[in-house]
Parts: sequence; C-alpha cells; structure tokens
Amino acid sequence: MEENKRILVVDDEESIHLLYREELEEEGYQVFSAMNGEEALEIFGSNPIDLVILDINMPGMDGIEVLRQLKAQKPSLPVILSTAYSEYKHDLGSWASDDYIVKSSSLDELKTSIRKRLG
Amino acid sequence: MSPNRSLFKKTKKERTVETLARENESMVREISTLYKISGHLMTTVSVDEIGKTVIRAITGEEGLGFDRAVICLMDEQEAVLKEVWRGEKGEESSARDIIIPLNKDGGALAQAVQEKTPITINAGSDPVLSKIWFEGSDCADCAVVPIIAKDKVMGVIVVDNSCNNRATTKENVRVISMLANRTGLALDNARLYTLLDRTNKELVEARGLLAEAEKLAAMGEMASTLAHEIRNPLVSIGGLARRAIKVVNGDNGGRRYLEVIVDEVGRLEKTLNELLDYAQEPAESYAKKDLNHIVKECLELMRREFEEGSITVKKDLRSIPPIWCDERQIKHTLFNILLNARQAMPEGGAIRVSSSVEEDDAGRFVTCTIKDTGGGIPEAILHNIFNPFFTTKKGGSGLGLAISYRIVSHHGGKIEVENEPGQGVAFSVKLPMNPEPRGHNVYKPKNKVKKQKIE
Repeated sequence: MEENKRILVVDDEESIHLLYREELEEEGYQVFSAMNGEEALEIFGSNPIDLVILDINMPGMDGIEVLRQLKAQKPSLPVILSTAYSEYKHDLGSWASDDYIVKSSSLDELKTSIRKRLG
Repeated sequence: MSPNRSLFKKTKKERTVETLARENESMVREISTLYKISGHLMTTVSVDEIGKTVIRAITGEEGLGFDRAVICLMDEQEAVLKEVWRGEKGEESSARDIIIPLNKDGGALAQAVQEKTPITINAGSDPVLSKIWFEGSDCADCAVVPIIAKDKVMGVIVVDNSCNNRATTKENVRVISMLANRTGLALDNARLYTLLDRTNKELVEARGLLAEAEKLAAMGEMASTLAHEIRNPLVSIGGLARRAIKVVNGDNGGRRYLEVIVDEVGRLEKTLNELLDYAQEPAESYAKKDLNHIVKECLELMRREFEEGSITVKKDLRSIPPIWCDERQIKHTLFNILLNARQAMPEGGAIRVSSSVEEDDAGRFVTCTIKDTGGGIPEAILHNIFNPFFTTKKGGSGLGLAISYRIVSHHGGKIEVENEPGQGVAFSVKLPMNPEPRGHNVYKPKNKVKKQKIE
C-alpha cells in the first residue's frame, strides 16, 4: 500500500470527485480535488502532487491546456487523462499524457495505471 | 392556256425558261429535302440515328438520290478517320471498319479533313477511295465533304454516283456541304447531350453519396455527444453503487438491489462503448491481407453457432489477390454480416460465402458475398438497414451494419445488398484492389476537444 502519495483529481463533476476520493483514499492515497483548470494549477502550485488525474472536457481552461502547463512546470509528473470520450485515445501520443483512460464505473483500470506510475 | 400550245415550236426563250424551271424545281426539292433532314437531325441525340438518317437522306430516292455514301468520323485519340456508316440506294449497310490515316496515305479523305474543304475526285485515282468502293467502280467521280462543327472537323461524307457523275457537279457538292454542316451540328449536339447526361448522372450520384455521408456524420456526432452526456452520470451511479455494496452489511436486502444497479450500469456502459465505436473515427492499421483467409477465420469463429442452429455453410472462395485492408475491421464487418444471417434463420438454413475479383467503372475489386436463406428484408425497411440505431432485433443496438458500412467506406469500398423478399439476402463487401493503402475518410466526426500538441 502506497503511503502519503498525493493525487490531484481534476474534474467538473461533483459526483466523480466523491467516487474517486473515496476509492483512492481507500487505496491509501491523499486526494486533492479541483473543479476546474485554474483551481488545479493553484493546488499544484502549493502542494507536492505526485500524480494528476485529469478530465479533458471542462468549462474554462480545458484539460489539454492544464496538461500542457503542468508538464511545463514538472515534465516528470505523471498525468492520466480520464474522460468520457473514447474518440481521442489514439491521439494520446500527440498529447504527451502518460495514460488515457475512458471513465468507467469500475475504477480497476485507473487504479492499475496509478499503481504502475507511483510504483 | 390553249391546249394546242405545245404543238407550237418552242422558241429559244421558252426553252431557257423551261430549263430554269426544271433546275428551280430540283433545287426546291433538294432544299425541302435538306429542310426535312435538318428537322429530323435536330430532334435526335443518338449519334447512330444521326448517321443512319444522313445515309438514307443522301442515297434515298426521296432524299438526294445518290448511289452510295460512306460517313467516316474522326477518332481524336488515334488521329485517324474511321468508317462508321455506309449505305446504298436508301438502305444503310454494315460499315466495313476501314481506318484512314490523316497523312498522305489517307488520300483525298485526309486532304479534305486537313483543308476543311470539299474535294471532287475520280475514285480510280485515289487508293483510299478504291478501297472504300470495293466493287471496282474505278471510273466513278466522288465528292469528299468534311463534316465541320464549330470550326472543328468531325468526319467526312463520301458520296458517289457511278451512273451519272452527279456528285461532282458544283451544285450537288454545295447541297452535300449544307447537309454536312447540319450533320456536324447534330453530331456536336449529340456529343454535348451525352456529356451533359453523364455529368448529370454523376452529379445525382454524388449528391446521394454526400447526403448519405452527411446523415451518417450527423448521427455519429449525435451518438458521441449523447454518449458523453450519459457516461459521466453512469460512472457515478455505478461507481457509488459498488461502494455502497462494500458498506452495506451482510445479507441486508439492499445489497441485492445494489447488485442489480451495478449490473445494469455495466450493461449500459457496454452499449455506450459500442455506440462510441461507431462515432469514433477508426484508428486504421492497413496491411496486405488475403480476404479469403479473413473469411475463413470468421467462419471458423461462427462454426459452433452455425452447427447448433442447423445452418449449412457452402464456400466458393476463388483465388483472389491480397488487398490492403485493416484486418480487424474487415473481420468485424464480415462477422457482423454472418451474425445477421445467423439471426435471420432461427429455424436453420443455408449460408453461401463466395469471393471473386470484379471490375466496374470505379476499378477492380475483390468481393466477398454472403448469402442467406433467411427470408430477405422487407422492402419498406431496406433503405434503413445501414442507419445507426436502426434494428429489427429485440435488444439489438442497431449499430452492426452502420459500423460495417463505415469501415468499408473508409477502405474506399462499398457494401451492396441484393434482397429477395421471401427468399433471402446477399451482402457483398467490395474492397478496392489499390496498389497502396488508403485512408479514405467519408467523413470525420467534428472534434469536441481542442487538440494541442505539447512540445
């Protein structure tokens, strides 16, 4: 069980935060929640975040822009795109995210990806 | 007029008037003939009809009354004249397919084309004319008149009258020239008409394809948006129901309800993924593959299914060259069609799978046809079968054929349906034999997310 690893979840849906927070805390992670891109960058600027789970389609600054800014600040930061769209999965390469996971009611795939990246 | 008038000896003046009257009469007849022919020529757009009309007009007794006529047309590509029609005494006969070069070997015919002017010549002194008039009428004088439309030579009319050399008189050459002009106009009209007709057909076809592509694109986009709007709440419902199961103690009745929720959400998510498969632009991976091999693999996958359903499978797979395709997608397509065939025959039946190489206007195709005995598709719904969400099956997603259609379109191919209501239906998947792979996108769903490269 990973202790003390900090995960930032960025999504504009309250209920997703509720679900992700409970599931990830159960796995022993410390979870930070941001409702939009601006908030995400703010939290990232004042906390030592180890991994980011990022929605793409959000009002205001979209996930791709957040990804670009996060990677500019810390290129080694693992960022997992988590979205309701499956269409863009094959564009992953051009977006330089570490993984692209289509949202699902089972968080197994997401958890596996996190474990892989946080060791 | 006195009845005895003719008994008197005609004066010189009277004789001149008579001759003039006769000439006049013949000119009126010729002009009226020309007028009639012109009228007829202007109402037809069939090239063959034009040629035959002109032949009959030149050689018929009702027409200009020459012995024989031949019409040659220009072959622009090969730069030669080709004999197309010939006739004698009002009857057209089969052309002898004589080809005349446009150089000095082409004799008077080539000369008439080059100089754009009528020529009168004795057939005996011209090798080409001797060849055209095969009956050894070497002595006959001929008129060779170019058919000109819009300053372009379209062919020549060759006329002779071995009996009285009428063809060579200046007046007659003039009449034939007038006829040749009309012929030129008529042929040009026919050419333009054919061109217009073809363009129009192509336009109608293109418009149909475009409408189809637009319809499918709109539906694809809708599917994508819908899927997104539904997925987020589903993730919360399903995910939190899973959590609730962990929290609920033991055999508390609520647990069973939650399990139903989790299962149902799982089912909805699966449907959503299928939907998105449709809306999604397929990531293609092309390689040279043998379609027969793909067909056999699909049949192998379905073997048990067919056996259990008392369905016999007959294969007629010809030797076909490998094609560039995305094997996974083509397999998906064939599998879909086979599955539909299976479901159309709940009481058993027969499936015939054949493959061959075919050719049409668009090029060469390898074709795989899957024919069943499932009673066919009712005519009323036939035009809907490729629409997304259209289904006749309980619990069907209506996406099987829609996805197949898209896949084959992306390959630059097409799916053809031959439906025999009451009997069965045959689906033919036609894939082009391109030397190179192609990403032929019928349409792309619009991006909902701004893509940005990260340096």
